[in-house]
Amino acid sequence: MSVVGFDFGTTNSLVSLVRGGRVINFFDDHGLPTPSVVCYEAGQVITGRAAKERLATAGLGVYGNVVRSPKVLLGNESVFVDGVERSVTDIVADFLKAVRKDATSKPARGLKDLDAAVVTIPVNFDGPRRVALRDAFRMAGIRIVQFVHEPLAALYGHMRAADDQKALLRRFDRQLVLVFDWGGGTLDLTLCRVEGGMLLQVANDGTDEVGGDVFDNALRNEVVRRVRAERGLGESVQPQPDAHARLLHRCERAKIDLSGRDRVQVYVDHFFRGVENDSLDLPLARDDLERIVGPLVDAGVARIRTLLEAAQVSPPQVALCLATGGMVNMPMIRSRLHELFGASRVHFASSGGAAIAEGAAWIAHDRAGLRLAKSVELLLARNSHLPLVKCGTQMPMEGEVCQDQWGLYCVDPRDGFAKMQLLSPMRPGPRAMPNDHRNVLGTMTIRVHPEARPFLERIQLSVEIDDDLILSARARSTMQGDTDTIEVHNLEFAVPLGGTESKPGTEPTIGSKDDQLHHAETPPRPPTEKGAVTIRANVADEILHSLVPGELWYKHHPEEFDTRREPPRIQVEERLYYQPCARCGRPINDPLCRCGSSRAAV
Amino acid sequence: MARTGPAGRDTSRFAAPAPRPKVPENLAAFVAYAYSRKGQRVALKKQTIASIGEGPPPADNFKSQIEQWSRADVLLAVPRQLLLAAMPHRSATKVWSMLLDVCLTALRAHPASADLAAHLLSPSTDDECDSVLEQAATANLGHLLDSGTGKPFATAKANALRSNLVHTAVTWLVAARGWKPRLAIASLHRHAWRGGISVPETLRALAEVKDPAPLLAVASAFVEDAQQQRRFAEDAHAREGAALVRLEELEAHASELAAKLAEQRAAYGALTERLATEQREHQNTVSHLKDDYERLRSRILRRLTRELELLDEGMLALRRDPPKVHVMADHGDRAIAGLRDEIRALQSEDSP
Repeated sequence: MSVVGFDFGTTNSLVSLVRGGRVINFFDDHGLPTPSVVCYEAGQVITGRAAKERLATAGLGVYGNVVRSPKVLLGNESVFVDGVERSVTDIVADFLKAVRKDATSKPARGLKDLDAAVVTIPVNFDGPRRVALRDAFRMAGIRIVQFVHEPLAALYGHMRAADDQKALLRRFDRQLVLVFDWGGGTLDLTLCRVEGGMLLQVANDGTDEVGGDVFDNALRNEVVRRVRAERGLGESVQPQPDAHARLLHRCERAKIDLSGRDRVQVYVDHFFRGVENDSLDLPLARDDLERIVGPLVDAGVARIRTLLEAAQVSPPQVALCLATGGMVNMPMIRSRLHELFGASRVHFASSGGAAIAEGAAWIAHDRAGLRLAKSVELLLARNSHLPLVKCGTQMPMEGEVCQDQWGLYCVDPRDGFAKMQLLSPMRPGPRAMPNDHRNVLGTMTIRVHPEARPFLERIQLSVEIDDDLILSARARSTMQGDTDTIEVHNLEFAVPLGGTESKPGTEPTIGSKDDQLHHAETPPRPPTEKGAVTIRANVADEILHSLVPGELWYKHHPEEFDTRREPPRIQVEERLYYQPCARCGRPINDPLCRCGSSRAAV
Repeated sequence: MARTGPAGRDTSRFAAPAPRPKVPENLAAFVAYAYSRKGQRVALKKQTIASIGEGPPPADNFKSQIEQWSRADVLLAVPRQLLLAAMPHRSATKVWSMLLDVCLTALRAHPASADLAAHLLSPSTDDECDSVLEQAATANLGHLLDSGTGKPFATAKANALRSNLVHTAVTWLVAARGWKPRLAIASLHRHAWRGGISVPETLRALAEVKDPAPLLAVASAFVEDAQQQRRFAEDAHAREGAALVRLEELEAHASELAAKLAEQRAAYGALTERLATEQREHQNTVSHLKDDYERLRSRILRRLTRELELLDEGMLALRRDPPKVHVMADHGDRAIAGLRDEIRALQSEDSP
């Protein structure tokens, strides 16, 4: 049984298989990836290029009886296609069945059956959509062995297909690599770090606002506008019914040809209705094209800057920019990338639109299971961190779930809530430091008994990661019986190159509690990502009196504050600072308290 | 060992049938003479043999007379003497045959041997003779009554009767069925001469032996048997040695064959694996070539289709009124450029 790499793309899809040390791509009859388009016509399901030719406009979604890029509809229950309500999962399954049938119809190329695949997904593809995609694949008779992010797959394929893989690894070891995948439908960005034979995701970003189809659409609209302006045609002059589809096709062709020449003539016969000269005829120069699509290119390149800024990385720190996807053949985009990173550090993938599927095929061939790139930690009282899932943990494969449970204590139940926050260090790797920047993955709040003494209320925390790479955390207070659940969909992953095992130090163990970060002595609050809401966590995983706020601990154990016992300084300060006013009972720093000793002194 | 002496002769109750002539003139007279001897040795002289052979056949009541004499011979002592007397003259076939008939009639008439008599004619092999002798030695005589007292036999008489029965059977089997004396002695040793006596009694019995011939015969038989067994053992030992040598040779050969088999199996496994590898590589090569072909075919097809579309569109523009020559020129240029690019790509791929 062969496990293939399956790139179910927004605009195009491709199946690849590694056989005999070489990737075989299962293109359609035109030698191109299959367009991700489904058309329901006269009771028949038409997919691929034949369905795409029925489209008169760019963009994603449902147009009449044509569904373009059903992947973007995943997550919805159903859509109306030509007035008929259809399940999105069924639409995707219809397309996948056609791709599967097409790929297996050529047994001489080595694929007798297609029933298992490593499937690529965009970096912003959330959990419910992954679940729906798995269902659709199952309906099409294909098991998803594992998901992998598209840019990560492209990078893996690039590194794996190199002639001297070890030299490449040495060259980029401990360096940053930006994968820039600009396809027909989406722009996906992933900043990775090569470390110890592993490719670790540092930061991800993705958008479908500047896909290649948007370029074609913008070009088409501009061409029509200019022709109307030059010939003085008003809005009353309408185009032929299929004219827009034909013009879109010519614009796409013009965009490609302008990569190699300075000027082309855009011509569509019988474009307009009701005028003597019904053809559309317009000369288009490369400069015109760049002016038209320049804002889109700028928006795409700006995503790179945004991503790098968020990861606190400057462009010179990026050792390699791997550009894939059909759009990177545009000279304008190439020049922008050269300007940003320098020509020597930009590499345009030779396989173009097949790079992602090829990478997935290599991952399937090497059986390179995903690992967690960054630890998932729980913020504890006094800003210490309990590692819940360690960096390097092997992600579950098909049908697997890894899970563990922790017993926690509420150290300060006075407000009636136990507050927990899941964090992830911004820097990948096993050696996260207490002061490292961290991203907030989610916050849980459960009711606890406000009158309970510290450590009396216990909290059960269970964490699991399923084969859709969704982390679910559930907390329950034992006395109050309240529960809270969160799901984390945006984990970052690593993959060992060439199926190599990770270093012993990073051997995956979910649930290990012996991390050095655990309970550092009153560390300062670590910085978090911009805009993230941070909380003051009030849970601990062991009974340690110094974790309780001083004023609360003094309430229950005043004898502990005898100076001969050398109470913790922070608790003493807290007790003194939050000492309630003897008269009004308000905290001493409460502005409403007008009977405090300081005011009295004034 | 059972006693083989003349014990058991019952003289008190034995009634002589007739006055004993000096020389028996016919078979009846000889038989009568033998019974008159009450189990003592009798001899058959040449004159008697001639008389019996040339004389008239026995009278009709001769058989009943024999039966009567036999029943009177309580300890069955006479038939054995008749056989021993006739054995040296087996060449006189008629006399020998007649005396065998007499003995058989007597044995059938006697209650102790009536059952055994039926089996005396059938044995043809050594084992069958041995079986008949065992039957005689283990015959149940407890039901017989002493004709004198009307009670069961005393132990001494019962032993004498069993001894006479066994030795009569042995004599018959040796004389009439050609059983080898050596085997007969061995069979007697197994079945009849059971029980042991003390060393003094043994020495006494040996000292009192007047005629050592029987001992010599028995000893000779045992010696001969032992020698034969020794020969058998030596032969078996030699054959065992040869068999062991042969076994070692066969084991060595088997080991050699096993080693060859393992070698052949390993070679077969390697060949099978190599074949699988070759097949896999061949399939991979076929897949790669097919993939190359498909890539090239689809690329050329796509290029031709695209350029044809351009030229087709340019032709449409050219046919318009007025003709749009600039469109045709542009599309022609682009098509030609595209085809040139493809030709260059093909040429670069052709070069190694």
